[in-house]
Amino acid sequence: MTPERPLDPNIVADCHRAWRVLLERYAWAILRDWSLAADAVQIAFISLSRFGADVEPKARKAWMFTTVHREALRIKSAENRHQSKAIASVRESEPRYEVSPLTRLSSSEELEELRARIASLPAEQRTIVNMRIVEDKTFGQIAEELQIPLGTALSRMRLALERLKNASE
Amino acid sequence: MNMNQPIPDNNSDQRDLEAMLYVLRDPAIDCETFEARMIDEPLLAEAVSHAVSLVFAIKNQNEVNVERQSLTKPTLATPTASVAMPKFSFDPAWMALATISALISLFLLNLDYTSKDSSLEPMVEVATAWTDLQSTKMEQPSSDTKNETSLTSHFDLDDSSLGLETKSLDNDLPDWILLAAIASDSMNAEMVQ
Repeated sequence: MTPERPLDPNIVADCHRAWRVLLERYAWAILRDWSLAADAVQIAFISLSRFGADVEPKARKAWMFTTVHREALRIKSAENRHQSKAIASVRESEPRYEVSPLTRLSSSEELEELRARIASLPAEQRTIVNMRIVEDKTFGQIAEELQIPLGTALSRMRLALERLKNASE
Repeated sequence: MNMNQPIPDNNSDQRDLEAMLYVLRDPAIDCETFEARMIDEPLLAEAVSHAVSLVFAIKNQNEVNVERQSLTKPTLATPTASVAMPKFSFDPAWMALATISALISLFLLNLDYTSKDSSLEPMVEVATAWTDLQSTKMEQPSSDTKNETSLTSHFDLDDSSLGLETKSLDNDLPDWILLAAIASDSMNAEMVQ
């Protein structure tokens, strides 16, 4: 068993303030469930407080992402095992895009900035973004519907993401 | 273009696109392969985190827009079959029809009221008869006055000794009031003298 190398609680608290939101979003991408994502992040921070003294300060963030990832996969595996007892075929559950977690995870200023960026997107990029994210169409369907090559649809999406990312940073 | 092959991580834009495709579980990307890369590439993990926030922001904005549209354009709401409401139009033809209908309704109501008024006639007759009966009773001496007269007789008052002519006075007033008034009047006369 690995001997504990506790990290200073103040440093853990600072890390929690700085990365919790980022890590919860990351865990959600794997688990598609906010409460499970919060659990994974919580366990990762407990690990940081117990063994974090061994981690180089510069590598802490990457270490946390890795820890959250592994914890999320462990939870996902446990959930799948739990579901497999109830149903014959195990399928990933549909993602639930609740609005409330976003408002919990993002500041209102950040949201407003993002909305302004979305509104200022060129029409062709905004169309692709809406069709893919809001209407949940695949790029193949979008390309067919707009009668454009698949690569064009993807590149418009990439350009839109570039503009939107600048807003969220 | 085969998206199942990992896209070379030569710039952040490509990474962001892959992250978005993963978050949306797009069939163009192999999620298991991508997750394996996420562990080794912290930047890819951060890109996934940003993609999640973007997806939620866009969906949130869409919901806000839908709510605003429903608030500003209530006529766009489609009522269900069970609660379908009639549609009112302000066409001149409709307005004329509505005015005529209202006038006809008022006319019919007026007719109905007039007919109800004539039905009150028997009641009026009863009321008139009752009033007549009351006035007839007022003309007769009341039983109360009789009682009061008999009451004065109990006190053995001698009207003649007081110089009163009770028969000339109004029968409606009790004798003791008249006596009190006369006494007061005589006291005033004495004081003047």
